[in-house]
Amino acid sequence: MSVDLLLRTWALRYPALREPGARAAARAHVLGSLGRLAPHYRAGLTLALRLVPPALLLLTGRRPATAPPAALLAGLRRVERLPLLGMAVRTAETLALYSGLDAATATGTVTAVLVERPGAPGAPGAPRHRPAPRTADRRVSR
Amino acid sequence: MSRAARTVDCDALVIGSGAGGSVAALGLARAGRRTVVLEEGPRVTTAEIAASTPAQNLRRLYRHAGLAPIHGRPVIAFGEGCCVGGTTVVNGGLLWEPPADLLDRWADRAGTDGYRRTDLDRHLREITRRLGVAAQHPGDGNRDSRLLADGADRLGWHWATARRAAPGCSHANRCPTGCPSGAKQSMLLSYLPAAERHGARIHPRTRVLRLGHRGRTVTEVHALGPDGEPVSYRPRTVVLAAGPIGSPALLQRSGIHRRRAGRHTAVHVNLKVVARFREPVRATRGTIFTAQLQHFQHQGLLVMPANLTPGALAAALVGHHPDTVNTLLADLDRVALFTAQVRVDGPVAVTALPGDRTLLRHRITAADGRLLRAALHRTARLLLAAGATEVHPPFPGPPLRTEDEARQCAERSDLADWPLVSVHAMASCPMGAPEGGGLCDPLGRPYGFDNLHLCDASVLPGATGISPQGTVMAFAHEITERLLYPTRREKTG
Repeated sequence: MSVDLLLRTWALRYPALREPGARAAARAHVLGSLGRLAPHYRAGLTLALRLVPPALLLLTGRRPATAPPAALLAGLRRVERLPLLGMAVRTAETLALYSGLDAATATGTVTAVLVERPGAPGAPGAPRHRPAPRTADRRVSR
Repeated sequence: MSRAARTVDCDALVIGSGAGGSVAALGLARAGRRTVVLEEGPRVTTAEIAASTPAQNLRRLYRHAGLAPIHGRPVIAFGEGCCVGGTTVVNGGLLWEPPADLLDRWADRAGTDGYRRTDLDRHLREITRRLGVAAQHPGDGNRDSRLLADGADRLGWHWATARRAAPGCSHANRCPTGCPSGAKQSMLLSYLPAAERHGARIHPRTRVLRLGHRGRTVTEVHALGPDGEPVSYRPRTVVLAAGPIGSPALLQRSGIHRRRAGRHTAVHVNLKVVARFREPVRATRGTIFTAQLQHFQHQGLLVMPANLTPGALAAALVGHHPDTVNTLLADLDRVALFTAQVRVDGPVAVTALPGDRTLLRHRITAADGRLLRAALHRTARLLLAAGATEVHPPFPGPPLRTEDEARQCAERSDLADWPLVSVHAMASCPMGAPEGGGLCDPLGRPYGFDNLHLCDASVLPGATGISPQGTVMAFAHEITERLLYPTRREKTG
């Protein structure tokens, strides 16, 4: 599948995407975002991503499934230079990186927030305003 | 066989639950009108936002997962909220008040007398009180904002502390994908619950297809409910607040000002710049920003930090050499992400297409190009003055280490390669005299209609140059008040 092929190639570029959890989050976000697009854009982007394996085959002369990493990376660089296909691949890469790299940190962030504000918004006793720090008097430049 | 539409009668139907629609909903419900609010997106609680990853929230809270393209060279990604509370759920919670000179210019040029600062001041006071708007101080984190202020001071440039509707902000660093602590006072947590206490009903996941009208009156609003079932609303008054894109698209679909609505939509465009510092910045610890460069506001340029996460950093650097991305990710503590926001003159055209599709096209002008280049140059200058050892432009290229490199990079790069984003659109159905290009009167009524009122960013007479929520809400308060208590002259149109 095109997205899995792209994920495999992006993982060669970015070690942070090699973690299974990061890969799964990236995959979910790419496919999930595709599902949220307007139908005409979804169809266009899906078609473009499906064209990636044949484009790689044409540009490198190797079957993507069995191509060595260097050939995959070189092929993807050439695909990215193609006008519409390149834009589709970069869009998917943006989605994959955004989700994949934040997947590992998200749980920790949420836990920290809930620990900091255990009463949830508006709960009795929950602090509404933090005291202003010492830098507070520096409001604007002079 | 098509299903028969369920019919719902009400006094006031508000289409859209963002900054404009929520204000109208509260005003109408408080005045005793049986008010129904329709929202295309879901209703999501703070607990659900907190329990989801940023990516999950992005998909759930944004229209088209934040990927609606504005066609042109370059293609610009447009993001807006699509959930109960609208974009106020996913913005930075910035609440700047509209400058008096901007409102005066609009009044003089477009004829929006009655919307000057003296007219809107009491509304701004109410907004400030209801949302707990206050100066956002940096707390223990937000060192990126303090560095921006330091750099501006060194250059003698003006900056200001952010004004935000986020009392008790816990600096969770997740502003654009929904506040996980509930500190940000989006419409979901402020005006809408107040409207419900006055009897308003909110119908989420309800998409409006068309406004049925006869003569000067909207008689029926055709919609699809959560399960795709047809619903026909028969209100006495319709408040259209579907946003700067949705409102003109719906007018076009309904045959109302089809040729003019949305054709000259104003936008701000953002470019992201990454800076690496010698000392730790720890920009992941903080809120969206607490300081904003306003020195070039009169030219339409603002610079501010953005929420930094590994994913946001890598996404901002797509196209750069992977070694650059990996190096910066490995050095995340000393990296910060900044946004330069530019008010462009080239308009965006909104076109409703068959099948409920919408096409957006921009016509960025040569002058806009010069301003964008100046934005990159000035942002890099600011960050170098702040102590950055290298600045990475939004498009692939070597890091900028001197002011001269920044100037040359800004001047010589091809704008078509710039990955631009927009999260502010407005003025798609501007209020004002028809001879000056206005599409609606001071009550927000599209010319030729008596019971239809526009009440969102679309009615602003032009681009604000600042985060528009405060201006949109102030206009919405004034429109709602005029709708409820029109003068005799306004009653007759």
